[in-house]
Amino acid sequence: MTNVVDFVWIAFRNLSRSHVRTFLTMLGIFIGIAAVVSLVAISQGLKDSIQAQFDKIGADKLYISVKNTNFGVGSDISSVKLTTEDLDRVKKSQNVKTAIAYNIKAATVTVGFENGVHYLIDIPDTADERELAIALNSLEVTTGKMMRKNDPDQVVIGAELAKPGLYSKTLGVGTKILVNGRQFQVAGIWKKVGDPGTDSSVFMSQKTLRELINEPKLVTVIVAQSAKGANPLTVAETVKKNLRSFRNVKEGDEDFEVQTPDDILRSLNTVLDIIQVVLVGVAVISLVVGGIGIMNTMYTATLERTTEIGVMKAIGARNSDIMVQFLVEAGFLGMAGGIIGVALGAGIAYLVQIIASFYLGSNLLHVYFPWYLIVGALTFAFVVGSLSGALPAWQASKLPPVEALRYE
Amino acid sequence: MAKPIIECRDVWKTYSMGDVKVNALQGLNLIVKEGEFVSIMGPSGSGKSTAMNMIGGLDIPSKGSIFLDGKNIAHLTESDLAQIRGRKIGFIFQRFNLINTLTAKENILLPMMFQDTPLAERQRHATELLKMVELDDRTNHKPNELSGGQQQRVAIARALANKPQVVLADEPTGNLDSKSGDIIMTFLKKLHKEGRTIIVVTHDEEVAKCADRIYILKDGTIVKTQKGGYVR
Ligand SMILES: Nc1ncnc2c1ncn2[C@@H]1O[C@H](COP(=O)(O)OP(=O)(O)OP(=O)(O)O)[C@@H](O)[C@H]1O
Ligand SMILES: [Mg+2]
Repeated sequence: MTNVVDFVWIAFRNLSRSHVRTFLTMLGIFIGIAAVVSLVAISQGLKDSIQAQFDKIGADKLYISVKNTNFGVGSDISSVKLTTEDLDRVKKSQNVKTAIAYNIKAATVTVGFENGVHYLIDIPDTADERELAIALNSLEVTTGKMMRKNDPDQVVIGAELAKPGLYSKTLGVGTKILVNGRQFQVAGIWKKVGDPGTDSSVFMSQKTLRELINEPKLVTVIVAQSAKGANPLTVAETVKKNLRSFRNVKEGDEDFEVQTPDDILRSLNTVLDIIQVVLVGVAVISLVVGGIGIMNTMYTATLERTTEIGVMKAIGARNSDIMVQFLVEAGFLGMAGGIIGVALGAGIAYLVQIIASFYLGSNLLHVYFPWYLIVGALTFAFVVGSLSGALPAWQASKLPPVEALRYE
Repeated sequence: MAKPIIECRDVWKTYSMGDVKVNALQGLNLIVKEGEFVSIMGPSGSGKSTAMNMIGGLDIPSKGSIFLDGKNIAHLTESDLAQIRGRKIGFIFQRFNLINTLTAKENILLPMMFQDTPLAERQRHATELLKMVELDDRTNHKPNELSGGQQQRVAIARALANKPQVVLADEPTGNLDSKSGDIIMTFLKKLHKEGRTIIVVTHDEEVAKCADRIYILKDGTIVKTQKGGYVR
């Protein structure tokens, strides 16, 4: 068997005879590979950062909300409600250390003569509940100060709301705004947390928010902390059972749900996985198209190089030599496309990371390139190339030498 | 007494194109002895190239036997034929047939690559062959940077790469002016002097006269044999 290095050398010479065609042939492959690499790197990075966020919250938390309500978003549409009575039940459940409730409500905010719609989020008014709420959302006042407990006319705003240009009058400490027509003063601004919902919301005392919306007992989300050593999943079952009997619903018909961070994480990951599968599927289709491009180029090469194939055979090349030569060339096209694709994909992923850190705060997204992604992408590109080249290679190899030599 | 290196016994080659059958060779009998310089002449379409292809193992006959160095090659597989072509035969074509993407030297390296010659040996031998055809100053030129005569000299060097016993040249001067043609023939005569068996197909009386013996082919069979003007 002839040395592979020799074939690579000839393949290189053959591919460099038409740079433009070689480039165009690789285009299909490298777009596909770039898409796969960047998508996997970004979504893997996203998963990691979500995991990190949840680790920060802690695995001992339970989230209780009305069913069909997305986590973190208010339940304005639903007629089913949770109230402070539910909160009491949760608090009294076995192995629940503490529980807090907070509300999320859309409200009209008036700044000067301009109106906008933002979410209102409340903060409990007792010291330890307050502490827990702040820790849960990783909140921290960077400018100004926190509103006082039960404060009737002060708010703290998310970092996005304090951005110049949002309103003609930039919001800052001391600015007076109207929320649903009632006047408040901005006491402080949160540090950017990277979650657009939190960053563009208005926070006020729980008592004040309930007065404002005239719902003295309403709660949107209850967050419970399970006792040390207790299994959060068991605690979740207990809470569920208690709420079922209190709300008088049968098992399976619950109008509320109890989620642990693990549940939420799992469902988020499922969504990410589905997105990943769909996008990678699209990328694979583009790789198939790229493979067809390689096949086309190799068929053209078989025709163009018919005489050459005859000559190679006349000077001692076996059918297998011609076959391997074409396969190596096609594989090389795939491989080179793969290398450019991996580089491009990495570039795109890092660009997304930079953009994400610019808009959502740093450290939120760290794109992730496992070795198997890179090795896998390159191997796959090589295999796609070789497979696409297989048929043309076989065709070229079985050309009878005399006919190939006579070919004009 | 030299032994026969090539022997064609009642060789037939029939091409069928649809219903029409063309007998390119019709009972060809021919013997070439080791170290002989033979030329084949004949009108166009008489089967000269077909005969050369059979002798060189590029094609197999429809009927008959072809002995190359005592071995019948008429029924060998393509892969066995490739081996024989690579090791025992050196082809020189009318259209030079160099690989255009490769340099002069690389073209000469190619046949050695298919025989797994060690790398250093390949390089050494290619350089030596380039020197032999007096093109050592054109080592890295591509075929399109060489004149026709120079390309044919590279082709001669390539034909000799695996030290074949037999050199087959199908109208090697057909695409060249007479001066370049003369140079090519000088090289072929030199190879012959070194002991190689040479078969040249030609339309040119002058070229044919270089040979020990001239076979005249007509309608796929030898009709006349004459002594060439070659003096040993
Ligand atoms: N592949 C083929 N298919 C059909 N007919 C063929 C084929 N190859 C050769 N022939 C026919 O066989 C006959 C001999 O052809 P060949 O090429 O051997 O002639 P030649 O003596 O070399 O002629 P020239 O001097 O023009 O090169 C011709 O009639 C040709 O048409
Ligand atoms: Mg001919």
